[in-house]
Amino acid sequence: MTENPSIWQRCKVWFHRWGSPAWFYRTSGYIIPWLWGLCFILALPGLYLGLFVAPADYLQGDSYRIIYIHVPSAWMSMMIFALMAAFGLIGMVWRIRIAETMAICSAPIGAAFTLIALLTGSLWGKPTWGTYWQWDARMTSELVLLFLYIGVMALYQSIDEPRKAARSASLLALVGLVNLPIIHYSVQWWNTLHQGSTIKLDIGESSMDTSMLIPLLLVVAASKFYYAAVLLSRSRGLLLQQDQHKRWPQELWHANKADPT
Amino acid sequence: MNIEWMHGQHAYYIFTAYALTLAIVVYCALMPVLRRRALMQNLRLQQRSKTVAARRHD
Amino acid sequence: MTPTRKRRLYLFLSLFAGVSLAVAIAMYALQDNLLYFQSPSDVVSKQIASGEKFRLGGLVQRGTVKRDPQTLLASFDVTDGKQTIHVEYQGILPDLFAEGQGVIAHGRLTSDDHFVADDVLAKHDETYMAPEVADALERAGHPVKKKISDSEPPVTTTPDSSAG
Repeated sequence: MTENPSIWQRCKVWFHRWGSPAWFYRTSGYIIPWLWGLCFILALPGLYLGLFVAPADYLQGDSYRIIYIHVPSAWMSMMIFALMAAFGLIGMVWRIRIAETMAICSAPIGAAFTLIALLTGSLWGKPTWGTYWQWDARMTSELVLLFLYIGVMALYQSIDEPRKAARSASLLALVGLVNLPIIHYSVQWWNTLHQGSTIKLDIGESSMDTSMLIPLLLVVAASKFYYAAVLLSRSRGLLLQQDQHKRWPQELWHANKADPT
Repeated sequence: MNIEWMHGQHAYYIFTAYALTLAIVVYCALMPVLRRRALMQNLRLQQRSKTVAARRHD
Repeated sequence: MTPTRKRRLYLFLSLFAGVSLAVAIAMYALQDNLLYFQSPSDVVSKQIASGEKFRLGGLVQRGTVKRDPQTLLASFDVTDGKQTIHVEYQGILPDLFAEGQGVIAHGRLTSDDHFVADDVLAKHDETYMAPEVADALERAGHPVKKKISDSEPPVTTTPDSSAG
């Protein structure tokens, strides 16, 4: 060892600190308000522009304004599932407790986004397609995603030992990952009622007017910070609940009596 | 500001979609905070009663 | 990485690969059932029997829409560029129904190229455009889909109509 630890070493130490519940609880407490701040800074102008400034669509009229919540939540429903499986895999392989906690705490947030995507999609479908619900591949696979989230949560609840429960639920998340490409490519692989992707990440330009696209991208960015904030918040709560009879919550409280959190 | 859509034929769908989303998003954000606060409160009460009991014992 | 962790990692990854493969095979086998609708070409090539219920999807051929305001009877041609099928439908068409727009009709064939629909849905595409832009495209000679409603018959766009 040299006298001055290298940056790599420092990063490693910093990373390992996150493994400590006390450190996680305290540090995330400082970070969460900033995440909320970023979320609002992006979401408020995004929704304002989307609802009150962007023009109506030439064909759909105003009902398309629902996409400012539908598209971000549909994306988040898939992104959170992927992250949940990733946290779960880390938890299962390295047995890192914080990773297991984050995987479990992701599930309800992802389920909420999936529910929003389904509800808003249905409310958009009625004026656009003329129906609230049809069993086409896109809608059915998104519904399966909701059931997978519910399955992950139920499996976690059904096992008493929390760490074992978290790892079992993570395994289901890993298996459920198969559904993500099906959701994404369903509109290309099969004939569906649902249209193709408006915003294409891989090829070509997006088929949306800039004045409509900018608010959408703002809300999409805001939803990421929302997830981060709620994830940390939930994880703090779960750690505190599991460790309430351990020493660190009391030490934390003694060390900082003025802290209202 | 373009608020014509509020009186348009699709206003019902837009309002319902946004209202449902707001309800879910707010619930999801507030629940963990409230639960953790209640837990913390509980822990503090336990702590206080322990201290009081210890003092009485002295 | 310790050998235990490596073993666990490989175990989980191979489990994931196995499940993916199984799902891929299942989907390949069920391919036809996962189609939400049949295109006019599918109808011709699969020789779907008349009377059998299915969904027909395609674009509404321009200039073929006829409506009877008294009986709500509408007829139009659905095409995929290769084959065309004539569709009849009695009822209220969705708001977005338009010439050149995608539709999905649920019903049955009465003859080889004659379809009676019980239900018509509009299929939307992924393009979002402001009305002004659509008008500009129209003026530049690119036909965009036009809503046709009963109250206002399709009018040729003039520069004034986009100013409001």
